[in-house]
Amino acid sequence: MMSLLDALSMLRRFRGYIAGAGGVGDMINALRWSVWYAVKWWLEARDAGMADRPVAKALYRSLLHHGYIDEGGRPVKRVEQPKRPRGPYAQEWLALHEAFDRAFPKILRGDVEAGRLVAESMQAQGWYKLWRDDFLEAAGFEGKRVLEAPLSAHNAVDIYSSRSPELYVGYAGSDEAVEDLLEVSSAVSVGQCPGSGICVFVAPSACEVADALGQLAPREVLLFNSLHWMPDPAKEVACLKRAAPGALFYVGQAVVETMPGFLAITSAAGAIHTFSRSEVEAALEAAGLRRRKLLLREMPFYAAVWSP
Amino acid sequence: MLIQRGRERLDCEVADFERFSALPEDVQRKVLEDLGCPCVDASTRLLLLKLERMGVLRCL
Repeated sequence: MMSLLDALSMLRRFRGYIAGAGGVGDMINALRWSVWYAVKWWLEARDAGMADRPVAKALYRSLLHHGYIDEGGRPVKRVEQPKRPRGPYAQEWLALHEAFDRAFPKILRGDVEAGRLVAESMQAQGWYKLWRDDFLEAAGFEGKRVLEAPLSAHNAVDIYSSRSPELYVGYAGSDEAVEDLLEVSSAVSVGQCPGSGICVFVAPSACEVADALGQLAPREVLLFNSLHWMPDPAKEVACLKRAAPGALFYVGQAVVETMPGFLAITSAAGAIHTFSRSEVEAALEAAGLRRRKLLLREMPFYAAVWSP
Repeated sequence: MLIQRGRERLDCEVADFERFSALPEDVQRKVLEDLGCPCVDASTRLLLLKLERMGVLRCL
Protein backbone atom coordinates (compact mmCIF):
# COMPACT_ATOMS: atom_id res chain seq x y z
CA MET A 1 0.00 0.00 0.00
CA MET A 2 2.82 2.38 0.89
CA SER A 3 6.29 2.46 -0.65
CA LEU A 4 9.25 1.88 1.65
CA LEU A 5 10.48 5.43 1.00
CA ASP A 6 7.15 6.98 1.99
CA ALA A 7 6.86 4.70 5.03
CA LEU A 8 10.32 5.74 6.26
CA SER A 9 9.59 9.40 5.61
CA MET A 10 6.29 9.15 7.48
CA LEU A 11 8.01 7.55 10.47
CA ARG A 12 10.75 10.17 10.46
CA ARG A 13 8.90 13.36 9.56
CA PHE A 14 5.21 12.86 10.30
CA ARG A 15 5.21 11.49 13.83
CA GLY A 16 2.40 13.78 14.95
CA TYR A 17 0.18 12.59 12.12
CA ILE A 18 0.84 8.94 12.95
CA ALA A 19 0.30 9.51 16.68
CA GLY A 20 -2.95 11.37 15.99
CA ALA A 21 -4.17 8.52 13.82
CA GLY A 22 -3.63 6.16 16.76
CA GLY A 23 -0.37 4.60 15.59
CA VAL A 24 0.81 2.95 12.40
CA GLY A 25 -1.78 0.13 12.58
CA ASP A 26 -4.73 2.50 12.87
CA MET A 27 -3.32 4.76 10.17
CA ILE A 28 -3.06 1.81 7.78
CA ASN A 29 -6.61 0.75 8.73
CA ALA A 30 -7.85 4.24 8.01
CA LEU A 31 -6.12 4.26 4.63
CA ARG A 32 -7.66 0.87 3.82
CA TRP A 33 -11.11 2.31 4.43
CA SER A 34 -10.37 4.83 1.71
CA VAL A 35 -9.71 1.96 -0.72
CA TRP A 36 -12.78 0.02 0.44
CA TYR A 37 -15.07 3.01 -0.09
CA ALA A 38 -13.42 3.89 -3.40
CA VAL A 39 -14.16 0.43 -4.82
CA LYS A 40 -17.77 0.70 -3.58
CA TRP A 41 -18.21 4.16 -5.16
CA TRP A 42 -16.59 3.11 -8.43
CA LEU A 43 -18.90 0.10 -8.78
CA GLU A 44 -21.94 2.28 -7.99
CA ALA A 45 -20.86 4.82 -10.61
CA ARG A 46 -20.14 2.15 -13.22
CA ASP A 47 -23.40 0.28 -12.59
CA ALA A 48 -25.36 3.55 -12.84
CA GLY A 49 -23.77 4.26 -16.22
CA MET A 50 -22.04 7.33 -14.81
CA ALA A 51 -18.40 6.31 -15.20
CA ASP A 52 -17.79 9.46 -17.22
CA ARG A 53 -18.45 11.79 -14.25
CA PRO A 54 -15.34 13.64 -12.97
CA VAL A 55 -15.49 11.93 -9.58
CA ALA A 56 -15.79 8.52 -11.26
CA LYS A 57 -12.84 9.30 -13.54
CA ALA A 58 -10.73 10.13 -10.48
CA LEU A 59 -11.75 6.84 -8.88
CA TYR A 60 -11.01 4.93 -12.08
CA ARG A 61 -7.53 6.38 -12.51
CA SER A 62 -6.57 5.79 -8.90
CA LEU A 63 -8.06 2.29 -8.56
CA LEU A 64 -6.46 1.28 -11.86
CA HIS A 65 -3.09 2.57 -10.67
CA HIS A 66 -3.38 0.65 -7.39
CA GLY A 67 -4.41 -2.52 -9.24
CA TYR A 68 -7.92 -2.87 -7.78
CA ILE A 69 -9.64 -2.71 -11.19
CA ASP A 70 -8.57 -3.53 -14.73
CA GLU A 71 -8.71 -1.20 -17.73
CA GLY A 72 -12.31 -2.23 -18.35
CA GLY A 73 -13.20 -1.09 -14.85
CA ARG A 74 -13.76 -4.64 -13.57
CA PRO A 75 -12.63 -5.45 -10.02
CA VAL A 76 -9.56 -7.67 -10.02
CA LYS A 77 -8.69 -7.67 -6.34
CA ARG A 78 -11.00 -8.50 -3.44
CA VAL A 79 -11.07 -5.78 -0.80
CA GLU A 80 -12.11 -6.85 2.70
CA GLN A 81 -13.89 -4.36 4.93
CA PRO A 82 -11.18 -3.13 7.35
CA LYS A 83 -11.48 -2.89 11.12
CA ARG A 84 -12.72 0.41 12.48
CA PRO A 85 -9.76 2.48 13.69
CA ARG A 86 -9.68 3.60 17.32
CA GLY A 87 -7.38 6.63 17.04
CA PRO A 88 -9.31 9.91 17.16
CA TYR A 89 -8.00 11.36 13.91
CA ALA A 90 -8.30 8.07 12.06
CA GLN A 91 -11.94 7.99 13.17
CA GLU A 92 -12.44 11.47 11.75
CA TRP A 93 -10.93 10.34 8.45
CA LEU A 94 -13.37 7.45 8.40
CA ALA A 95 -16.24 9.81 9.31
CA LEU A 96 -15.28 11.93 6.30
CA HIS A 97 -15.56 8.90 4.01
CA GLU A 98 -18.88 7.90 5.61
CA ALA A 99 -20.25 11.40 5.02
CA PHE A 100 -19.10 11.30 1.43
CA ASP A 101 -20.71 7.88 1.05
CA ARG A 102 -24.06 9.29 2.22
CA ALA A 103 -23.73 12.13 -0.29
CA PHE A 104 -22.39 10.00 -3.14
CA PRO A 105 -25.70 9.40 -5.00
CA LYS A 106 -26.23 13.18 -5.18
CA ILE A 107 -22.60 13.83 -6.11
CA LEU A 108 -22.83 11.27 -8.88
CA ARG A 109 -25.87 13.09 -10.25
CA GLY A 110 -23.70 16.23 -10.52
CA ASP A 111 -24.66 17.96 -7.27
CA VAL A 112 -21.44 19.94 -6.75
CA GLU A 113 -22.88 21.59 -3.62
CA ALA A 114 -23.12 18.18 -1.91
CA GLY A 115 -19.43 17.60 -2.66
CA ARG A 116 -18.53 21.10 -1.54
CA LEU A 117 -20.29 20.60 1.78
CA VAL A 118 -18.19 17.52 2.57
CA ALA A 119 -14.97 19.14 1.33
CA GLU A 120 -15.66 22.30 3.32
CA SER A 121 -16.31 20.42 6.54
CA MET A 122 -13.17 18.36 5.94
CA GLN A 123 -11.09 21.50 6.42
CA ALA A 124 -12.50 21.88 9.93
CA GLN A 125 -11.55 18.33 10.94
CA GLY A 126 -8.64 17.74 13.28
CA TRP A 127 -6.91 15.20 11.03
CA TYR A 128 -6.87 17.72 8.17
CA LYS A 129 -5.27 20.41 10.33
CA LEU A 130 -2.76 17.90 11.68
CA TRP A 131 -1.97 16.76 8.14
CA ARG A 132 -1.37 20.34 6.95
CA ASP A 133 0.59 21.40 10.03
CA ASP A 134 2.80 18.30 10.02
CA PHE A 135 3.48 18.88 6.32
CA LEU A 136 4.54 22.48 7.00
CA GLU A 137 6.75 21.38 9.87
CA ALA A 138 8.34 18.54 7.89
CA ALA A 139 8.98 20.85 4.95
CA GLY A 140 10.75 23.45 7.09
CA PHE A 141 8.11 26.09 6.41
CA GLU A 142 9.04 29.25 8.31
CA GLY A 143 5.82 31.16 7.78
CA LYS A 144 7.19 34.73 7.61
CA ARG A 145 5.92 36.24 4.35
CA VAL A 146 3.52 33.72 2.93
CA LEU A 147 1.72 33.69 -0.40
CA GLU A 148 -1.00 31.05 -0.61
CA ALA A 149 -2.34 30.17 -4.05
CA PRO A 150 -5.29 30.44 -4.10
CA LEU A 151 -5.98 31.59 -0.57
CA SER A 152 -7.93 29.15 1.58
CA ALA A 153 -9.77 30.91 4.39
CA HIS A 154 -9.26 27.92 6.71
CA ASN A 155 -5.52 27.79 6.08
CA ALA A 156 -5.17 31.57 6.40
CA VAL A 157 -6.97 31.69 9.75
CA ASP A 158 -5.17 28.67 11.21
CA ILE A 159 -1.67 29.51 9.98
CA TYR A 160 -2.01 33.19 10.89
CA SER A 161 -3.07 32.18 14.37
CA SER A 162 -0.43 29.49 14.94
CA ARG A 163 2.62 31.02 13.22
CA SER A 164 1.97 34.78 13.34
CA PRO A 165 3.51 35.55 9.95
CA GLU A 166 4.41 39.14 9.08
CA LEU A 167 2.27 38.74 5.99
CA TYR A 168 -0.19 36.14 4.70
CA VAL A 169 -1.31 37.11 1.23
CA GLY A 170 -3.29 35.42 -1.48
CA TYR A 171 -6.09 35.78 -3.96
CA ALA A 172 -9.61 34.45 -4.02
CA GLY A 173 -11.89 34.03 -6.98
CA SER A 174 -15.03 35.35 -5.30
CA ASP A 175 -16.18 37.94 -2.78
CA GLU A 176 -17.68 35.21 -0.61
CA ALA A 177 -14.38 33.83 0.68
CA VAL A 178 -13.21 37.35 1.44
CA GLU A 179 -16.40 38.29 3.28
CA ASP A 180 -16.05 35.29 5.59
CA LEU A 181 -12.44 36.22 6.35
CA LEU A 182 -13.41 39.82 7.09
CA GLU A 183 -15.91 38.58 9.63
CA VAL A 184 -13.53 36.31 11.51
CA SER A 185 -10.36 38.41 11.63
CA SER A 186 -9.61 42.10 12.10
CA ALA A 187 -6.20 41.56 10.45
CA VAL A 188 -7.71 41.20 6.95
CA SER A 189 -7.21 43.78 4.18
CA VAL A 190 -8.80 43.49 0.76
CA GLY A 191 -7.40 44.87 -2.48
CA GLN A 192 -4.93 47.25 -0.86
CA CYS A 193 -2.31 45.59 1.29
CA PRO A 194 -0.42 47.49 4.04
CA GLY A 195 2.34 44.85 3.84
CA SER A 196 1.34 42.98 6.97
CA GLY A 197 -1.57 40.96 8.30
CA ILE A 198 -3.79 38.89 6.02
CA CYS A 199 -4.20 40.44 2.57
CA VAL A 200 -6.56 39.20 -0.12
CA PHE A 201 -6.93 40.22 -3.72
CA VAL A 202 -10.09 39.22 -5.53
CA ALA A 203 -8.87 37.74 -8.81
CA PRO A 204 -9.47 34.61 -10.88
CA SER A 205 -5.79 33.62 -10.83
CA ALA A 206 -2.32 34.73 -9.76
CA CYS A 207 -1.62 36.14 -13.20
CA GLU A 208 -3.99 39.10 -12.83
CA VAL A 209 -2.39 40.20 -9.55
CA ALA A 210 1.22 39.03 -9.99
CA ASP A 211 2.65 42.56 -9.90
CA ALA A 212 0.73 43.51 -6.77
CA LEU A 213 1.78 40.26 -5.10
CA GLY A 214 5.39 40.80 -6.16
CA GLN A 215 5.53 44.23 -4.48
CA LEU A 216 4.86 42.48 -1.16
CA ALA A 217 8.04 40.36 -1.47
CA PRO A 218 6.62 36.98 -0.42
CA ARG A 219 9.26 34.46 0.67
CA GLU A 220 7.16 31.30 0.80
CA VAL A 221 4.51 30.09 -1.61
CA LEU A 222 2.02 27.57 -0.27
CA LEU A 223 0.35 25.25 -2.77
CA PHE A 224 -1.58 22.97 -0.45
CA ASN A 225 -4.03 20.70 -2.23
CA SER A 226 -4.74 23.49 -4.69
CA LEU A 227 -3.22 22.68 -8.10
CA HIS A 228 -6.33 20.76 -9.19
CA TRP A 229 -8.41 23.94 -8.86
CA MET A 230 -6.28 25.94 -11.31
CA PRO A 231 -7.48 25.98 -14.91
CA ASP A 232 -3.88 26.09 -16.18
CA PRO A 233 -1.53 25.14 -13.31
CA ALA A 234 1.75 25.59 -15.24
CA LYS A 235 0.72 29.08 -16.35
CA GLU A 236 -0.48 30.03 -12.90
CA VAL A 237 2.63 28.72 -11.14
CA ALA A 238 4.75 30.67 -13.64
CA CYS A 239 2.86 33.82 -12.58
CA LEU A 240 3.54 32.92 -8.94
CA LYS A 241 7.22 32.53 -9.79
CA ARG A 242 7.15 36.03 -11.32
CA ALA A 243 5.55 37.35 -8.12
CA ALA A 244 7.92 35.50 -5.81
CA PRO A 245 11.19 34.83 -7.69
CA GLY A 246 13.19 34.11 -4.55
CA ALA A 247 10.59 32.07 -2.70
CA LEU A 248 10.40 28.42 -1.79
CA PHE A 249 7.26 26.66 -3.04
CA TYR A 250 5.70 24.21 -0.57
CA VAL A 251 3.64 21.70 -2.51
CA GLY A 252 1.24 19.23 -0.85
CA GLN A 253 -1.13 17.51 -3.25
CA ALA A 254 -3.45 14.51 -3.40
CA VAL A 255 -2.52 12.59 -6.56
CA VAL A 256 -3.73 9.52 -8.43
CA GLU A 257 -1.24 7.39 -6.47
CA THR A 258 -2.73 8.68 -3.19
CA MET A 259 -5.66 6.96 -1.46
CA PRO A 260 -8.42 6.67 -4.09
CA GLY A 261 -11.31 7.55 -1.77
CA PHE A 262 -9.61 10.71 -0.58
CA LEU A 263 -8.79 11.68 -4.16
CA ALA A 264 -12.48 11.33 -5.04
CA ILE A 265 -13.49 13.51 -2.09
CA THR A 266 -11.08 16.26 -3.11
CA SER A 267 -12.28 16.02 -6.72
CA ALA A 268 -16.02 16.06 -6.07
CA ALA A 269 -16.27 19.69 -5.04
CA GLY A 270 -15.70 20.81 -8.62
CA ALA A 271 -11.97 20.21 -9.15
CA ILE A 272 -10.84 20.84 -12.71
CA HIS A 273 -8.10 18.18 -12.80
CA THR A 274 -6.98 14.89 -11.34
CA PHE A 275 -3.19 14.67 -11.40
CA SER A 276 -0.69 11.87 -11.11
CA ARG A 277 2.57 12.59 -9.32
CA SER A 278 4.45 12.89 -12.61
CA GLU A 279 1.81 15.30 -13.95
CA VAL A 280 2.20 17.52 -10.88
CA GLU A 281 5.97 17.54 -11.28
CA ALA A 282 5.70 18.20 -15.03
CA ALA A 283 3.47 21.23 -14.41
CA LEU A 284 5.88 22.64 -11.84
CA GLU A 285 8.87 22.05 -14.13
CA ALA A 286 7.01 23.65 -17.04
CA ALA A 287 6.52 26.71 -14.84
CA GLY A 288 10.29 26.95 -14.40
CA LEU A 289 10.62 25.46 -10.91
CA ARG A 290 13.01 22.76 -9.80
CA ARG A 291 12.55 20.29 -7.00
CA ARG A 292 14.63 20.94 -3.90
CA LYS A 293 13.30 18.37 -1.46
CA LEU A 294 10.97 15.39 -1.82
CA LEU A 295 9.18 14.55 1.42
CA LEU A 296 6.58 12.06 0.24
CA ARG A 297 6.27 10.52 -3.21
CA GLU A 298 2.56 9.75 -3.09
CA MET A 299 1.27 8.24 0.14
CA PRO A 300 -0.64 9.53 1.98
CA PHE A 301 -0.07 12.47 -0.39
CA TYR A 302 2.61 14.08 -2.56
CA ALA A 303 4.78 16.49 -0.58
CA ALA A 304 7.81 18.42 -1.82
CA VAL A 305 9.61 21.75 -1.74
CA TRP A 306 10.37 23.49 -5.03
CA SER A 307 12.14 26.70 -5.97
CA PRO A 308 12.65 28.90 -9.06
CA MET B 1 -19.51 44.01 -4.09
CA LEU B 2 -18.10 43.06 -0.70
CA ILE B 3 -20.52 42.87 2.19
CA GLN B 4 -18.91 43.55 5.55
CA ARG B 5 -20.82 42.06 8.45
CA GLY B 6 -19.60 43.07 11.88
CA ARG B 7 -21.39 40.51 14.01
CA GLU B 8 -19.50 40.12 17.25
CA ARG B 9 -21.24 36.92 18.21
CA LEU B 10 -22.83 34.33 15.97
CA ASP B 11 -26.11 32.96 17.28
CA CYS B 12 -26.85 30.03 15.01
CA GLU B 13 -29.38 27.25 14.70
CA VAL B 14 -29.65 24.35 12.29
CA ALA B 15 -31.74 25.47 9.32
CA ASP B 16 -31.57 22.35 7.17
CA PHE B 17 -31.35 19.08 9.09
CA GLU B 18 -31.01 16.98 5.96
CA ARG B 19 -27.90 18.85 4.89
CA PHE B 20 -26.61 19.02 8.45
CA SER B 21 -26.74 15.23 8.66
CA ALA B 22 -24.56 15.09 5.53
CA LEU B 23 -21.61 16.46 7.53
CA PRO B 24 -19.03 14.07 9.03
CA GLU B 25 -20.22 13.02 12.49
CA ASP B 26 -17.34 14.68 14.34
CA VAL B 27 -18.13 17.96 12.57
CA GLN B 28 -21.83 17.63 13.48
CA ARG B 29 -20.85 17.19 17.14
CA LYS B 30 -18.48 20.15 17.02
CA VAL B 31 -21.08 22.42 15.46
CA LEU B 32 -23.77 21.43 17.99
CA GLU B 33 -21.35 22.06 20.87
CA ASP B 34 -20.41 25.47 19.51
CA LEU B 35 -23.82 26.81 18.46
CA GLY B 36 -24.47 30.03 20.36
CA CYS B 37 -21.27 29.76 22.36
CA PRO B 38 -19.47 33.12 22.61
CA CYS B 39 -16.15 31.36 23.09
CA VAL B 40 -15.64 29.98 19.56
CA ASP B 41 -12.23 30.56 18.01
CA ALA B 42 -11.70 32.08 14.56
CA SER B 43 -11.42 28.68 12.91
CA THR B 44 -14.74 27.44 14.29
CA ARG B 45 -16.39 30.76 13.54
CA LEU B 46 -15.24 30.38 9.94
CA LEU B 47 -16.82 26.92 9.77
CA LEU B 48 -20.13 28.30 11.09
CA LEU B 49 -20.03 31.10 8.52
CA LYS B 50 -19.38 28.65 5.69
CA LEU B 51 -22.26 26.45 6.84
CA GLU B 52 -24.51 29.52 7.08
CA ARG B 53 -23.56 30.45 3.54
CA MET B 54 -24.41 26.94 2.37
CA GLY B 55 -27.83 27.10 4.02
CA VAL B 56 -27.07 24.48 6.68
CA LEU B 57 -27.23 27.01 9.56
CA ARG B 58 -29.19 30.16 10.15
CA CYS B 59 -27.25 32.76 12.14
CA LEU B 60 -28.11 36.13 13.65
